[in-house]
Amino acid sequence: MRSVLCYGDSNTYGQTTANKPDDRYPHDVRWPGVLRGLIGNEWLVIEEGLSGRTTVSNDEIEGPEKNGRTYLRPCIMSHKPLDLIIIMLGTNDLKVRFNKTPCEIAMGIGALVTDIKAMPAGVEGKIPEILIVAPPPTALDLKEWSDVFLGAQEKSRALAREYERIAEAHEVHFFDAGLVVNSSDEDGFHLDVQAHKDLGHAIAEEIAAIGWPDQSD
Amino acid sequence: MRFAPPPTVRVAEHPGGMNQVLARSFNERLIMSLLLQHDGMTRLQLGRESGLSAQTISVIVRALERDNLVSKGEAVRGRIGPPTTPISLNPNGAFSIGIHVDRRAIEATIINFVGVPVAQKRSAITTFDVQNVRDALIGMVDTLLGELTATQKALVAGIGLTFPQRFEAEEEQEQAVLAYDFEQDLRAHSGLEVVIQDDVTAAASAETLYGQAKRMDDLLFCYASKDLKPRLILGGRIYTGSNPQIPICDCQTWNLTAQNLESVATRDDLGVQRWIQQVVSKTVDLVHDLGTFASVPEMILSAPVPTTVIDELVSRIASKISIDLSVTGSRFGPNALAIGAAIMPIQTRFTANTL
Repeated sequence: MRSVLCYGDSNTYGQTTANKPDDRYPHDVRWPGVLRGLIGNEWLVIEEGLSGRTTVSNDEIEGPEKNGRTYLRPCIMSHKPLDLIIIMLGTNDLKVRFNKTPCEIAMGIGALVTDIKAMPAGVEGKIPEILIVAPPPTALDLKEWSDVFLGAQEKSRALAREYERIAEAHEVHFFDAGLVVNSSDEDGFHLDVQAHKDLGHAIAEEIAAIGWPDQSD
Repeated sequence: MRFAPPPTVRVAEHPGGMNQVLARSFNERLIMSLLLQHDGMTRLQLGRESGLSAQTISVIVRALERDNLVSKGEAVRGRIGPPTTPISLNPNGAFSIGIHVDRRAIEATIINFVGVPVAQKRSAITTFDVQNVRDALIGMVDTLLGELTATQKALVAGIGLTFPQRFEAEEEQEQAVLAYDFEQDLRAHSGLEVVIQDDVTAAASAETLYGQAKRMDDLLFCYASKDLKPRLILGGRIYTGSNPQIPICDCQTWNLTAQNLESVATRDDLGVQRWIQQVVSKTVDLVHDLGTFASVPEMILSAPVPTTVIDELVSRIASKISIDLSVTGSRFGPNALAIGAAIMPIQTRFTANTL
């Protein structure tokens, strides 16, 4: 059995687009759950999504636990050995309080990749495969979040390209989620039920395409 | 640890066309060589064959996809396990021009990235001298480029030019043609890279790249026309030795034979039968001679004759030699030399193999 860690923000956590009880989709609706439904007989799919998680920034408003970099190490240590780590972050870095350009957000992803490569988190002390997923661009209307995400519409449309450059520079796998899903028009930056389903299927395809040798055990 | 912004790499929005191809890394060429040999490979298979890591393969495949050099195949769902996505070369990802200069005519072709001719042309040379050959070559390049759309033109990898090692008659003008630098003229005229090679060596490489020898490492390649011209390929490399020419008939006889071979009605002609018999016996002798110091498991026979004649030659040769050597007929047909010329730019730009 292989294991994959899905490290992300609210769109991995399964935050609902409109207000609902608990504000979270059931586990089999969120994309890691969809993924589990597809490859769960061969893979342990570990969900590590947190609403508001950034790539590397401390969030003075939402709290220090939102920093994706400080939690990454203990998170990986608790789940290792891992065959694959999927990182889908960056949407929260678009918040105007962080004042980052798309390139800098991508560099934050690069910092996480560097951290992972510095740890023997893979099987038999190897480095796990790393898949960077660029989040889909935000909707043009960010509703009540417009102030928080001032200017995010344009910046989010440049993320995929910057992420691909980072993936290339670090020699890791890359997938642009914007190819298969859109942010919901409901709130402008979360995924709806259908998007979670589509993303789960696309990620399953991406995982398969990486190519995994047969396990001898 | 490096915190500078990453270097600009090839990105989808800024395709640089063929110019970037010059900078293809060895690893990219290695992957393309594998894809040239196999129709459709998964990233796992590419990793196994190349020894590169999954993440490196992933980066390379993305770069090749962006440049339209590969197209992702349909997802194939295996009986067990997750789907795998085979990757194949995109036939329209690149094109190449091949021109073969002979004593009487210029044979030319454009092939696509998987070696399929998309255009073929021939133009006769009345007076064989430098000026005429030069004009015919430039005219031919223009004609061929005229066959392509603007998009396809931008994807032309270069021009391959081949000449026989020696022409049929040893005359001063012919020596002058062999000595002249057509490469320079064609490059200046077309702005394309020009690669020159002798015709039979190029035809032999075409067999290893796109033809019957795709997955053979050791083989004997023979080209039969007026002479029998063999090339020995060992470990995937063409052995460049003395390149013998074993005479089969004289010039006049060959010209007549070549004409008679074109039509089924005249194929029973005595001259044709004698030519076939000569090719068979000279080839069998050659194989026996070769067998005294090297043994190869495969032989490929090519000749500017119809496929049915190739098949007859192959079966007659096969019946006279040891079963340890399997004989295959080239499938490039009468145009083998032009196709040979056309593969050279593709080989030099995209593959990890050099002659």
